[in-house]
Amino acid sequence: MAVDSNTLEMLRSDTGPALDLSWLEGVELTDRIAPSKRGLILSDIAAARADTAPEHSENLSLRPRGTRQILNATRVAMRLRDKADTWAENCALLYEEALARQWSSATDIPWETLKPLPDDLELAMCQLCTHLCEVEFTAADVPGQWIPAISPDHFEVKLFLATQAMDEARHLEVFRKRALANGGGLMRQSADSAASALRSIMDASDFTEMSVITHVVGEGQVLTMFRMGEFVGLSEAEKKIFRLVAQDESRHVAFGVMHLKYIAEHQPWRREEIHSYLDRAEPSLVMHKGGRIFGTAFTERLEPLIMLLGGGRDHLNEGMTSIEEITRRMVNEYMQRLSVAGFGDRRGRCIPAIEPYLEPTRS
Amino acid sequence: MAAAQQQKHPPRFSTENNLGLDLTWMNAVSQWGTRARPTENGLTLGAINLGVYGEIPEVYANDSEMARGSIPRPGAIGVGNPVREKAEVWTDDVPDLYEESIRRRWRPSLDIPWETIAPLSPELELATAQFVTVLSENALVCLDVIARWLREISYGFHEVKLLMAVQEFEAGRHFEAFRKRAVVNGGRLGFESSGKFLRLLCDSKTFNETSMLLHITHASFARTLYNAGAKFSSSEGDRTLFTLCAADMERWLAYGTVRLRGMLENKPDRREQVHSYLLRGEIALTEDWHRDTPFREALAVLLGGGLAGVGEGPKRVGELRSRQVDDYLEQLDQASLPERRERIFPGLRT
Repeated sequence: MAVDSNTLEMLRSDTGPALDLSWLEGVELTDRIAPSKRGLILSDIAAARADTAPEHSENLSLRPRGTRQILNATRVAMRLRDKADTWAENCALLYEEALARQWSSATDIPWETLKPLPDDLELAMCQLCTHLCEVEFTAADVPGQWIPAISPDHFEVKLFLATQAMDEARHLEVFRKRALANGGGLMRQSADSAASALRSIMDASDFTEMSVITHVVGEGQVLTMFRMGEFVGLSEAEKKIFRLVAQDESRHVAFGVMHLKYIAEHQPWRREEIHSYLDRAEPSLVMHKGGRIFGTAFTERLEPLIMLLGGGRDHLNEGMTSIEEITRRMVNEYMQRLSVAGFGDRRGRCIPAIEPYLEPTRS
Repeated sequence: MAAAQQQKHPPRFSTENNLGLDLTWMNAVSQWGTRARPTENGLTLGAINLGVYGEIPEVYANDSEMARGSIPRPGAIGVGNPVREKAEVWTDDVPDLYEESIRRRWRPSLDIPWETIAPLSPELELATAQFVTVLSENALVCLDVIARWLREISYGFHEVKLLMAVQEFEAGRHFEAFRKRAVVNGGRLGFESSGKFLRLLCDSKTFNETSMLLHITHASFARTLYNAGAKFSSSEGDRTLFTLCAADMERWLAYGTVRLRGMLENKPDRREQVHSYLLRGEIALTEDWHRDTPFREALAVLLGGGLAGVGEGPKRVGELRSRQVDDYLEQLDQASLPERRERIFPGLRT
């Protein structure tokens, strides 16, 4: 069904205000799209309209994919115009899931369950939260750097990254809230923040480089840690914080893994380049050896965790044992993710510090 | 419960241990005894701004990744956040606006009753699709622009960074919702806008410039359009869509207006510069209005109730445009810029 062309012609020749109406011409209405039980989600729309992101975008204006072009639209420079530059096959679904799983740190955390803690444990929780505030600051800022450079033909990636910024912002405030809610306070800026360990994320000059370091290595690492929140959290409030944050982080990791998979499948010549990013990022996975932390770079990150896992100042040895277990999990989950992404060969070329923690692959 | 803060001496611990751990952090707490209490809206950002943690500096000197109120490490490396003046970004209601945004979050997939959108005549459906196509494009560019500023704002004003993150998220939601509306009812995406104003937004160089164009000029013109959309909508689905988007825009405007007023109080010498930015925005909006024939005519069809009333449409479009300008000037009155009424770009009024 379209607008009748005779009617349009009559309106144009009418004595009233001059009308063009060519935008109505020859456009047929198509089938309506019925929402599914999940609601009206992006992938339903895309499927109904056979709307797929192009491998390479020739679009140099600001119009999103599928919008009709006008010739006098302003031209802008988009740096990332190849789908493989940024794409992950799950980004639209992850976006919808992120919207479905938004939460409020003000009301969804049972703050009333916080109970006064022994000073050593309160200090440890506050130091851990201080460090996590710094980490989450960076993780919120970084995606934003990339969003404007991504072609509007690949808008699903922009949308996903916007949810990541939102998630990380919420993490920042929930950890700050925890530090200030139970009789403690913020503590010392962490050594790796002061040395700007996170600069490697900010300084990445390629989207995939950023994604590998941030989503696959960095967020994968904290995801494992947050999943251990049952052991780190000392109240229902803290356990719930770690559960909800882990749920968010798992989306970010899933994006990174699927982006890497897309690269492996579509740009296999980039494999060595990817390995070079992994070489650089892997040392952060193992921060200790033989019951000793490497130097002081990870002091504020690892020591509070040791204390929390051990159960206090007098149980540091137990805490160190738990850290060994977390590291083992971290390393193996990391390797499993790389395997899913098509980088199973990483096992044979990871940095030596990781090797002692590697478990045999399941056949 | 009211916020409470206990002052007491921090504990001291020995750093001795058999694992070679440092543990000096145990004796490094900035304000021990802080115990923020949930308010009627939960444990809000405002509720935790207690003592040193709530001191918002005029200029945030620390340019590292340190969280405001924690103990700095000497020699920390900077990360280069150029926006470090309170007067550039701050308003006292930022924490509340952030929490309100979180409370009022919505999901286009489920919170719009899409099934209530009944079949429309081809001209009304295509006009709706054209209308929301431009709104959708605008929202995606807003997402880009806000995203760019997140990193630029100093960590000393984390509340503002949080608000920008939530606005970035909201812009994405508007893009998504309008895009879905364009195609859900049998229509298709229409023509892009000529993009003069959007380009100006993308090219803005200072946070002040961006905020005026985004949080006042764009947000004001968009809110008036959304409110008009809610009025001419014939279905609950469309009305809900426009109403929810308009509510989000109110918060953008609240931030932009109070920020500008505060900045002008603190930096009165910037007044002329503000007018220069506004003038550039007004000129770009005027250019777009004259070039974007499909958008203008789509509005005429929608306001006229179809092609039969399209003769009346341009008059109604003119009235809507006047309302947009009036709302914009009203917003600037609130931002303590009443003289803009006399200085507005004349083309915007026609």
